[in-house]
Amino acid sequence: MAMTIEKKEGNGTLTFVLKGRLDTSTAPELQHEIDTCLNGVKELSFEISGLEYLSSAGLRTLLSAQKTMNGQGTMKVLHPKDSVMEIFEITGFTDILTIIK
Amino acid sequence: MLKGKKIKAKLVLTMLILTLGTLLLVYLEMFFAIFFLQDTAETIYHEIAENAEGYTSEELLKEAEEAMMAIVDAEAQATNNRFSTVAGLIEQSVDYLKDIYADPGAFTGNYRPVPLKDAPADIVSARYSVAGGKSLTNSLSRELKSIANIEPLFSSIMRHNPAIDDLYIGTASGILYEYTAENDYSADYAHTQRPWYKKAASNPDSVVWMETYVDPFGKACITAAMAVTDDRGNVIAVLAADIRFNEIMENLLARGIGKYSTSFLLGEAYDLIAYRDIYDEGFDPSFSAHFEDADIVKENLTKQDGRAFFAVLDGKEVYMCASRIPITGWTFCTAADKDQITRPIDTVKAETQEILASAASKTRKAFAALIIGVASSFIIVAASASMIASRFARSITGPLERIKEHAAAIGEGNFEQNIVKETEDEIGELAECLDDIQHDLIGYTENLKNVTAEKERIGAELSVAANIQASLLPSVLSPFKDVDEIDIYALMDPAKEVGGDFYDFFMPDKYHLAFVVADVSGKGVPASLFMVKGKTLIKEHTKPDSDLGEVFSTVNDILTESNTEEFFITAYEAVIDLRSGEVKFVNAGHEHPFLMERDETGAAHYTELKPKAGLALAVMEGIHYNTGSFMMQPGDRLFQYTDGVPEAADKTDQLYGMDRLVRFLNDHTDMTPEELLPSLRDDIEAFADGADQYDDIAMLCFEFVKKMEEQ
Repeated sequence: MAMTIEKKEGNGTLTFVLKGRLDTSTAPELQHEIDTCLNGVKELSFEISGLEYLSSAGLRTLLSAQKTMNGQGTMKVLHPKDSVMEIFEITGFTDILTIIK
Repeated sequence: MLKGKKIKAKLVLTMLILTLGTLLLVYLEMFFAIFFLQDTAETIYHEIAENAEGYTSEELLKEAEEAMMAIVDAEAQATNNRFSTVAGLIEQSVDYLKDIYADPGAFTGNYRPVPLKDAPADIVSARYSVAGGKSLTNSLSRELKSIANIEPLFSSIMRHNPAIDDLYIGTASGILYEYTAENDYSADYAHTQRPWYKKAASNPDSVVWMETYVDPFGKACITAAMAVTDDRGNVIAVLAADIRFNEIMENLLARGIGKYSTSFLLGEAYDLIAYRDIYDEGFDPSFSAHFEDADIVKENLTKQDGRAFFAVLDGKEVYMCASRIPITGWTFCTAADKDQITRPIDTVKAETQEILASAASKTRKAFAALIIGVASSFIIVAASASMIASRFARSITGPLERIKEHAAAIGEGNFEQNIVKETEDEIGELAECLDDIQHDLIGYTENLKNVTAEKERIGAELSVAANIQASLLPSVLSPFKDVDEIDIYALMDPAKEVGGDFYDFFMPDKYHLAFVVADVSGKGVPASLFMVKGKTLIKEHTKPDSDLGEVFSTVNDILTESNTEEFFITAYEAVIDLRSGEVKFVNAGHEHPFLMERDETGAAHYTELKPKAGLALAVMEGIHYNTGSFMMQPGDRLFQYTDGVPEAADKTDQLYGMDRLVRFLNDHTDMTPEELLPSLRDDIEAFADGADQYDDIAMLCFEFVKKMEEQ
């Protein structure tokens, strides 16, 4: 199972809807989107209710996005499944990411 | 049909099918035309033959009919005339005799007939006899004397009509007066009983005709007779004339149309009264004795007036025609052998057929020659078409064949071929393409060689890196084999040659064991380099008396400062005081370890230790990490791992999962660390069932065997 990325752009807002697995093999794709699409974005959201699995590589991608947004606006991670939330909790990312259940 | 055949065969077949198909159609049409013509010719010949036969036969029969009709009509007419003459003479004589009887005194001639038996033969003279051989009475004598006055008339008639043989008068009184040369006498003869007398007596006032009969004297003749009546109509005598039969017959038989024809007379009842065989002994004059299907022939005789028809006479097929003789009611017939009439037809027919057969044979030969000619021309044209098709196909497949050889050679690695563009068509373009491919392949192979060399080099370097990494991790067997209080085992399976997970264990002093299990986000060489950095920093800063939270805070700051790639490390470090079993630990975003303890009954089970973890290392500067602690009793074990364990997936992306991990651990509490970890890895591999390993797997198990004595 791979991952699908859907982009919803608004006025200064951008939402990535992620489904599937965000792992070593799919993270570079999301990293590419983050590297190229964040210019001028004030509110960035990751809608991850469809995300089944999040690996450390995926965390690293979200961290990279958070670091970019720290300088230009806000970032939210929306509706993670319990299993994914557990990963955020274990890694302590709940402290640095704005996660809305 | 064309499946599985070579192009040449396909081309040849296609062209042959088209060419030969067309040819076949054309030739078939020709053959049909020829056969139709031949058939028509045969039919025409046949028709000509039939027409010729019909025409000839019809003509001949018509001619025969005309000839025969002329004869029978003429003869019937002649006979009729002759009989009419005789009839006229008889009527005249009867009138004369009537006058004699009416007024005997008026006839005073002194004629003296002699008695028949005394009369001379061969001299025509008057003679008499009396019926029954009686003698002449006076009255009879007077009557005879009167009758004898007819002599001059009879004499004149006889002289002028040679056919008349006998003129005679029979009286009712019994006198028979004759004027003839015959002198046959019979005493028993009674003329009043004879058919001629009776017939004439019963038909007064007309001449009656007796059909051929043989009289009592053996003489065959035809008789015409007429009654003599008085004023009151009583028959007093009958006057008759015998007409020589020979005379009639000769006339009849002379009226043929050749020696194969015959003429005959039929009486009123169709008896043969004149016929060539009439003198034969036992001759039967009845009609049915001579004709087959007598009734049909009779019908034809009455119906076919003036027309000829076929009949079978005395066993021979004849063509016959008839004409009536009105005065007697008889019929004159002429019959000709059909064979003789149609003989010329047969000849003509045979000749015609011969000519036509010869013509037909010639035609047939001509047609046969034509067919052979057409057929051989078909074979020649078909053979030429095959040759041309084959040659044409070769002209197409020849270059293809060579291109195939070139391609095969390229496949074997020969890129230096001289590939000639033989034609300007698609095959030529194919040759050009192949040449281009050949040149491109030279470049590609060169490139491939370089790339392969590079890959091999990188592969070599990676394996070197893997070895280096492996050597960075502490060897399982060293250096604590001789430390009885410790039984520790760890293993690491990278997803790529070099991984981002790591473990480490070391003794900062003789009473303490430290171990670290960590996971660097990302894989491969960059991650492993970052891991080396993290591993080194942690080990450097871990001192027997240092606070682990401070160690991680320090390490985090250093890592964050130089982290350009947004790597981060989740790490768990524990330091065990081997004297007391007190464990101090710090957790930077890593999985919680499992602690195996024994309860009062001695039963062992693993429990996940879940104090809240801090943020992963290298994410953010200035993070403060807390040190936690718990106690281990001798025999307790501590199991730590990386997320590659629960997140190992099978082919359907099912995860191995925490539940399976806990169950496995609790099912194998009797295993030593060295037994447990390989078994767990085998279980994970069995679960993955050949699916790719996504993530590095690292695990470590430590057993606190016994407390260390203070020295």
